[in-house]
Amino acid sequence: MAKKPKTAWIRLTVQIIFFALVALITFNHTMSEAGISIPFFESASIHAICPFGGVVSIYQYITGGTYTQKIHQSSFILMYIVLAAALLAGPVFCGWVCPFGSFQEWIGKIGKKIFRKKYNNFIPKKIDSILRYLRYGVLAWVVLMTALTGKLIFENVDPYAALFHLYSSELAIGGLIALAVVFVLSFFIDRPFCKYACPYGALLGIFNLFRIFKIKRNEATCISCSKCDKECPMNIEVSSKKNVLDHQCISCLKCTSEQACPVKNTVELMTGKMEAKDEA
Amino acid sequence: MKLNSRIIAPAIIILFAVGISGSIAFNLWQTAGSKSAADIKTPADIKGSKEFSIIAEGLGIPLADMLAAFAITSKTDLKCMELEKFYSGVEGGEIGTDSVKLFASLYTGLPHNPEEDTRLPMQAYDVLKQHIDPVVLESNKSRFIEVKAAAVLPAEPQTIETNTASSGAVKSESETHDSTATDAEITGKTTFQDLVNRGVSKQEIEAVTGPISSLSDTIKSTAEAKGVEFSEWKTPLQALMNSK
Ligand code: SF4
Repeated sequence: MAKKPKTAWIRLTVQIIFFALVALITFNHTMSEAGISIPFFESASIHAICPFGGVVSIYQYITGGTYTQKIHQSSFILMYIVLAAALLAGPVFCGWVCPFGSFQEWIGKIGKKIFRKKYNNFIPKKIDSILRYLRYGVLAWVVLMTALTGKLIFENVDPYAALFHLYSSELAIGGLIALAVVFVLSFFIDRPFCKYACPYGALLGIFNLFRIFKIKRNEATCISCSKCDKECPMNIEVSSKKNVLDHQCISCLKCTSEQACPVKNTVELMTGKMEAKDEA
Repeated sequence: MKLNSRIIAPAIIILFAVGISGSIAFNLWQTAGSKSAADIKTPADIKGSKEFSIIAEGLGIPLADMLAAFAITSKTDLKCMELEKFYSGVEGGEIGTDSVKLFASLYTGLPHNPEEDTRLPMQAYDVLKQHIDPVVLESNKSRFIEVKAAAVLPAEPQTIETNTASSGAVKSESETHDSTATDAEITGKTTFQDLVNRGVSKQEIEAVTGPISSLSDTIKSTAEAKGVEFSEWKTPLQALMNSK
């Protein structure tokens, strides 16, 4: 079998770019509050550049024409961009852009070195599959409470906001505790917050059911090596599916023939029918 | 059709870049809103990005007193962080955002622990003299330094007629009420169209208010319909109008 070109660095580069951008913008915001800022560089609060802010603000925007506290038009624009991307290729935002997803993933690399095969397999499957629906509860609670109060309720327990408020006076103690919990869990579980608690991931996950480009497996060429299953950060059993419609997929492409799958044209992110003639 | 990393990576970056730059081009990209005076309850709530007008309203200090305290004669409003630029050459300490907090604390009696090198212009001493306990003022005397206002303030066009002749302290509120700026004061009857007539664009208005359905509506009634305090919109819109 011909050696495949390594492409994992491509996603890593995109993740680093977005992480650095968000860190710089929010740091600049904190500095500008103190009267110093990087010239010619955007300064914005983490809430203003979070597309989820647009989602939680929708009710207030429709009913009153105003934004939820700390949310601005930028959140809405980012929300549209992310939703458009999700409609096309699923939650690419989670797998490629979200700095908090990247943060967990990078810590997970240490966990993987420590625990090897046990890493990301600590929670019994039965319990895990129930816990995966927790994030929809979080989503419902956040949207409802934000609509009722007009305030960013989630902010006080949001580990993502806490990560980028570490150097700011806006750091909420609840968020800091949540961040510490996610930090520790990330050594054992790949993307624990994304899997069990992220309300935005929950919403974007729904797009996996009808996205245009899907993860597809060619049953005719599959050699059932299960390498795709082992690589999937979200523990999805790709090897047992023709189309991955799982609400947890983050479109990271780790399972595809470009990366984990050893057979060409067997696991692909694509639209249309996977033909048997796609064989290598 | 297949997608792989080499397609997705540039596609994501392009999607974000085009989406954001497009919205900037159409004046839709807004990462900050109109700051509400209701957010300022103590000196600790004062941030570098906050305007004097918002702080004044939030803490109940006359704006004219705040401007006079910092010897601001060339502007009708400014952000705290701008003070550092204005007073960059001052010796003997720093005059910046923390100075505004200190001034607000002395003026209102609300607590604040200033930095060691935080200073106030002597003009602030003159303002505070009329409002606070002389004992408190004396105990903070070392915080006040002489600044040559004319030397440190940028020469910007005067926006309020009553201020034009003066290089000293800003005139009191009652005096400014006679100025032409007062003629253009936003009241309960002012419509969005009135603002447009004075050179404020619809986009600038919507940056403060969010989308508006009709320019002929009064600002006050629209604010009330959206459940927003009229004053929350009035201050930034007034500042916008004054800047035209
Ligand atoms: S490895 Fe495949 S199935 Fe798993 S999250 Fe990534 S793209 Fe989805």
